[in-house]
Order: sequence, then C-alpha cells, then structure tokens
Amino acid sequence: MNLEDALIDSISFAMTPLQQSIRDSAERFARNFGRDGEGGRPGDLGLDALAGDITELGFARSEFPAVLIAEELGAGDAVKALELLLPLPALWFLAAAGRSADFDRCLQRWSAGLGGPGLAIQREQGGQARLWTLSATPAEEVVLVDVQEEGVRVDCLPASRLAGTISPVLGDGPLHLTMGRGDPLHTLSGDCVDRDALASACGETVQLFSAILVGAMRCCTEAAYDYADQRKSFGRPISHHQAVAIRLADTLIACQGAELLLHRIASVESGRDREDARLLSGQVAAASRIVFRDALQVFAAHGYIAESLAAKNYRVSNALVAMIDAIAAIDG
Amino acid sequence: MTKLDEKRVFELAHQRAVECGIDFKTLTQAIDGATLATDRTGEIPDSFWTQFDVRPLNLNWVPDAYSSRPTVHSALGRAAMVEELGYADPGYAISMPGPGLSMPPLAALGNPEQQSLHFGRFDSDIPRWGAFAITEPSVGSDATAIHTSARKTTGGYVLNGQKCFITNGARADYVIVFANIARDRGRFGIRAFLVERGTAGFSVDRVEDMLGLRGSMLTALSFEDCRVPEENLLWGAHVGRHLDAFAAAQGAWDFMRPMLSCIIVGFCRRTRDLIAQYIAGGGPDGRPDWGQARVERYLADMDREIMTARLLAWQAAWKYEQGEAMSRDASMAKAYASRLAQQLVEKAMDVLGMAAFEPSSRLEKAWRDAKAFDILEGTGDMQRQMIASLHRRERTSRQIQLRAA
Ligand SMILES: Cc1cc2nc3c(=O)[nH]c(=O)nc-3n(C[C@H](O)[C@H](O)[C@H](O)COP(=O)(O)OP(=O)(O)OC[C@H]3O[C@@H](n4cnc5c(N)ncnc54)[C@H](O)[C@@H]3O)c2cc1C
Repeated sequence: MNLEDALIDSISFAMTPLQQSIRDSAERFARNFGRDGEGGRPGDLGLDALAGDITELGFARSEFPAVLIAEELGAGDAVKALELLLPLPALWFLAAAGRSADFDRCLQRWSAGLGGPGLAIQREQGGQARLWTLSATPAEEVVLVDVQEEGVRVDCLPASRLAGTISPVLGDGPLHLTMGRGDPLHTLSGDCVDRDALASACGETVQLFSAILVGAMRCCTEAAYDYADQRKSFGRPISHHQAVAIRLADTLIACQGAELLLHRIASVESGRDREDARLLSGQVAAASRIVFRDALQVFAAHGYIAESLAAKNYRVSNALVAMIDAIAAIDG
Repeated sequence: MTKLDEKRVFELAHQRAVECGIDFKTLTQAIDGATLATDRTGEIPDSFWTQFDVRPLNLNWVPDAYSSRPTVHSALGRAAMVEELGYADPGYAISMPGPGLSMPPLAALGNPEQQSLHFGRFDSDIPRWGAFAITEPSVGSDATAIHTSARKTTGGYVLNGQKCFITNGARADYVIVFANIARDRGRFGIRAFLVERGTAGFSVDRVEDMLGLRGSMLTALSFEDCRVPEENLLWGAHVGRHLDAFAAAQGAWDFMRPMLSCIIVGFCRRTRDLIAQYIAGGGPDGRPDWGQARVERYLADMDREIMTARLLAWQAAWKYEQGEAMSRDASMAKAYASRLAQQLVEKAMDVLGMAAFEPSSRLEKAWRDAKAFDILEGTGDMQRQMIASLHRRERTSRQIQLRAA
C-alpha cells in the first residue's frame, strides 16, 4: 500500500454496517430516556458484553462499539449515559488487575439487572488521600483504583466502605459523585497492576467518558441551532445576528473536531496508550469548554435555568472533564 | 508581581461602610459562612438579616436627600464596597437589601413626593428591596420591544403582561415595571410604573431555580388587569424633555454595570486566591511540580487582568459620578470583567481538576456563578455592539467638531 492509500485507509470516515447498526440502536435507546420505565438494563444494548474482549463478539478493534454507544447515550442524556455505562470501566480495571473472581461476580450481577459496580479513584499525597467515587445509588460494590507512588492497585469493596460526602454535582438523579479527603484506605494487597494493562483500562475509560461528552456536545450544539432559529430579537431570528452565528459556528467546529479525534483515537491500536489518552482528554476538555459555555450563551437567561438542557450540560460537563483528566493522569 | 492592592481596597470599603453604620466585617463574614448553604437551597434565610443592623444596608443606595443616614458618597467607596461583597459572594452582593437597580429610574423619573414616599420606606430596621422589571419571556436584549401593556383608565393604568428573571422579584416591596402605553411609538411609548407588592392582579408566578447566583431570587411575575394608580406612574412635567422612560432604564444600567463589574472583580480575586491556595497546598494531583517561577508568573498574569478589569470598572464608576457620558465605559468594564471571570474559572478547573468538587470547595459553585455575568444587565454581545457603536458615534462627532474648528 502506498503512503497516500495507507493514510486514507487510516482516516476512513465511513462507518461499517455493524457500526451503523450499533449507533442506530443506541440512538433509539437514548430516545426513550425521557420515558418512564424505559431503558436501563445493560442487556438491552448488550453493554455487559463489552466488558470483555470485543473481538470475541465479532468486532474489529477499529469498530469501537462502546464509544459509539456512549456517544449516542450521551446525546440523549449525559448523566443517564454515565449511570448506564459506569460499570464498564469498573470492570475494565478489574480485568486489568487480573481479579477474575471479582470481575465475574460483578459482571453477573450487572447482567442480571442487579446493578453494576461503581468506580472510585484514590490518590495518596503526603499521607493524605483524596478519594472520589462515582456510582449509581444501588451500587453494592465499588472498584477502587488506588494510585500510589510505587504503582496502582485495584480492589473491589462494598460501597458502604467508601461512603463520603455527597456532592450533588450531577443533579438529583440516581448517579452520585462523592468526594472525600482523609486517611487513605489501606485495604489493598497484592501486586501493582501491570503498567500496560492499566494504561489500556485508563485509555478505554477516557474514550468512553469522552464519547459521552462528545454526544452531549452534539446534542447541545443542535439545540442551540434550533433555539437560535426560533428565538427572535430586533425583528429577526438571533441566528441572523453575526455575533450569534459566529458563536454557533465555533461551537460546531469544536464539537466536530472533538468527535473526529475521538473516532480516530478509538479506531487505532495505539488509542489506549497514555499519550493518546492525554491527547484526547485535552482536546475534549477544550472543546467542551467552548461548546457548553457558548451554547448556554445562545440561550442566555433561559439557558441559565438549572433544569434547562444547556445549564445541566454546562454543569455536568465540568465534572466529566475533571474525571476524564483524572483518569488520563493515572500512571502505573 | 502586580499588586492587587487588596488591603487598601478592603480598608476603603471598610471605612466607607463604617461611616454609613454598616458592620462590614460581620456582614462579609456572615455571607462567607452562609454562601454554600444558600447555593444548596437557593434561599437566604430571614435569620441571616438579623445578625446586623440592616437599616444602613437598606439606605445604602438611596439618594442623600431621602436618607436619614449618611450613604456612601464616592464612586470609589461604592466600588470598593461591592468588590468586597463580590469577593464574599456575588449572589449575595446582588441580593443586598435596598432599592438596587430600581434606584436610578425612581431618582430620574419620580417626582419629589414619589421619591420621598418610596425611598422613604428603606428607612427601616427590616430588610426591604426594590426590583426592576423589563425582561419578558420573549424579549430580552431587544428591550424596546416589550409586550407588557399599560392601558389608561380613570385614575390610573391597567397593566397586562409578564416579566421574568427579575432579581429579588419575590422579596421586593415594589417593582418598577416597564410597560407600553403605545407600542407603535417604540421606545417612546414605554413608561415606568411603580407596582406595590400585593397590588391586585400582580402575582409572583415562581422563583426560578437557577444554575448559579442562587440567592438572588430570580422571579417570574405576571400582571393581569393589574390596576396601578396614576400616582405610581413615574412621569410628569418634572421629567426633562431630553429624558424618556427607556433612557431612564439605560441610566440604571449605566449606574449598575460598573458596580456589577466591581462585584465580578471581587469574584475574580476570590477565584485567583482559591487557585493560589491550592497550588500552595501541594498543587495539582499527580501533575508535575509547578516550580516557583511558573507559579509566580501564572498568578501575576491573573493579577494583571484583574487589575485591568478593576481599572475599567473604576473609570466607568468615576465618570458616572462626574456626570460624564459613560455608557461605553460601563459596557467595556462589564464585557471585560465577565469574560475574565469565565476564563478564570476555566483556569481554576483545569488546575484543580477533581479537587474542585470537594464539598468545601467553592470552585464548582464559582463555575456556575461565573456564567451569569455575561448575561445579566445585557449580554456580552450587546455590550460589544454598544461599545463599537458608541465609540463610532463619538469619533464622528469629534471629527465634525475638528472640521468645524
Ligand atoms: C442573574 C440574572 C439576573 C437578571 N436580573 C434581571 C432584572 O433584575 N431585571 C430584568 O429586567 N432582567 C433581568 N435579567 C434578564 C437579563 O437582563 C436578560 O437575560 C438579558 O438582557 C438577555 O436577554 P435574554 O436572556 O432574553 O436573551 P436574548 O435577548 O434572547 O438573547 C439570546 C442570545 O442572542 C444574542 N443576541 C440577541 N440579540 C443580538 C444582537 N442584536 N446581536 C448579537 N447577539 C444578539 C444574545 O447575546 C444571546 O446570546 C437577569 C438575568 C440574569 C441571568
């Protein structure tokens, strides 16, 4: 293959039929988010199957199904997407640490609709620990990723052991972000996780969370365009005012750029490396700042109401960006 | 490193407050202690106002002629005070008792009896608020296009329409409502009415649950065949021919934008201090050591920008006091300060990462508060349009003068 063909091959923007169908079903699933009693079981989308090796499911690595699903769910509702998908990274960390018994037990519970594990990251510094936990309220177990100087250990603990102060950053839904600071939880034993396996779990998690954010960006951008065409000031739709048009254009550029980079990184073998994870986290953070700030600005005071789509995403994206950054910064 | 002169600003604020009888230290400390709870509940409990003498707060912006107590005279004194309040909490700063944004139109359009009666009510030991209502569900930036109507009847007017996002709307004793007596006359058909709380046909529909500045009680109001007596129309022969009600609304923004900019400057200083504290306490988790030189440059950059924001705000406030044309300066101050606030919270988030979400951290709240600054009292886009068009107008008139000379 000559150089040009090889490059073209590596940047194919076309989706395979399998990708297209995953995307479509995730989109249909996300459309039901707002309806009572709909959605929520991992089996409905085959999410639990994505905890293992996707090539065993017949996917090529370059088809990144988890990312495609996360993006569509994020476009539906970022918090719900996070709630649904959260067990995946928890399981990936267990797999990276070779804790197969915990992995099997957690996966079984999740597949049976009994709730998946939450995820907690502990980082020790100068004898003090900072701990954040993200879990759906019914989570019974939490996978703790303990980042220490000498390496990273992973354990699976009852959620009650990690109860911290609840910080309602993600709204009043069932998803809780808890933050704590204090004595480190020294329960972890055994070897540190292999560096490459750890990088891979981190890389996949960064991609998954970034995809939720990219989906939310797309949704918010489209909503801003809709609003700008409907809302009038000085006798014309606000989209006709250059200042608004420029903001809408910048929002779209940021959103599209982040999506392309996400797909590019998700499709290549090196995409789960530390460097790529940091690259992606940096770009998604930068794009997200632009999109959620500027989309809210288009709605102005109406977008500043806490329950509005723009306000919710402005708030949630901030937490997601910080989480992605924290996970990308984990080094074994 | 550029000095932010915090000590002298605080001293000035403190001195001026003491001269008016405001226990500034207790006030700012009380705000500091209450801010996170208010952020959770969206309320400032009544008990908050019992911790100090509220009369001087009520009277703070009341014109001297109608105040029983000395008020803050100088633009700089006012600027320093609101900067310190903004440092304590910007949501509280805009929720302080007193006439607030309703002061300039009442002062400009009200006759002496109206002013005496309505400013007089602030001479009280219980907190009292005035509110200013122009924004409507379908009209914001284009404020001359308001739909609320005022129909003349015997003895007064009948108001119909809706207002939204009115600061302190649910706690206000009265609201200055801008309504149209003749829509076809554009801005010249607009009049200002003082509507008392409890007037039949006037209702507080809801207090909005906002993303930030949550103590400020942004309220949706409605007027259904609301009868307002003639004496509550702020208009008459005493209003000079050069003034219309909409110009008085603009006068309110001219007065308030520099003050709001100072509140934002205080907010920026607080954000800067939170970042500095965090770096001093060990710095970002898992990231390479910053090194003294880099930290200093980083903080100095913020100081430089905060200082610039403050100078723009002070200049606008000072020009207002001198009676000079300053709409352009007020817009510049507000546009610069709001953008800076957003940049600083973004920086803070980048530096602190997950640590910003610890329950005791104010940064997640700051992140939400900051977004309001570019919206209230005119969006950044509108400020920039005004800056450019007012500056062009000024250049043209200067050129004409030069040519004539
Ligand atoms: C915290 C807070 C406090 C407030 N307090 C009060 C109060 O006490 N009293 C009161 O009356 N109102 C108040 N408001 C309302 C505020 O004044 C309006 O939100 C503001 O004027 C913008 O109006 P809007 O939200 O309807 O946005 P819109 O006017 O609908 O604007 C939407 C978007 O279009 C842009 N846009 C519109 N026209 C143009 C144009 N010609 N050129 C370029 N861009 C344009 C805007 O910049 C914005 O990004 C408050 C709002 C907030 C958030």
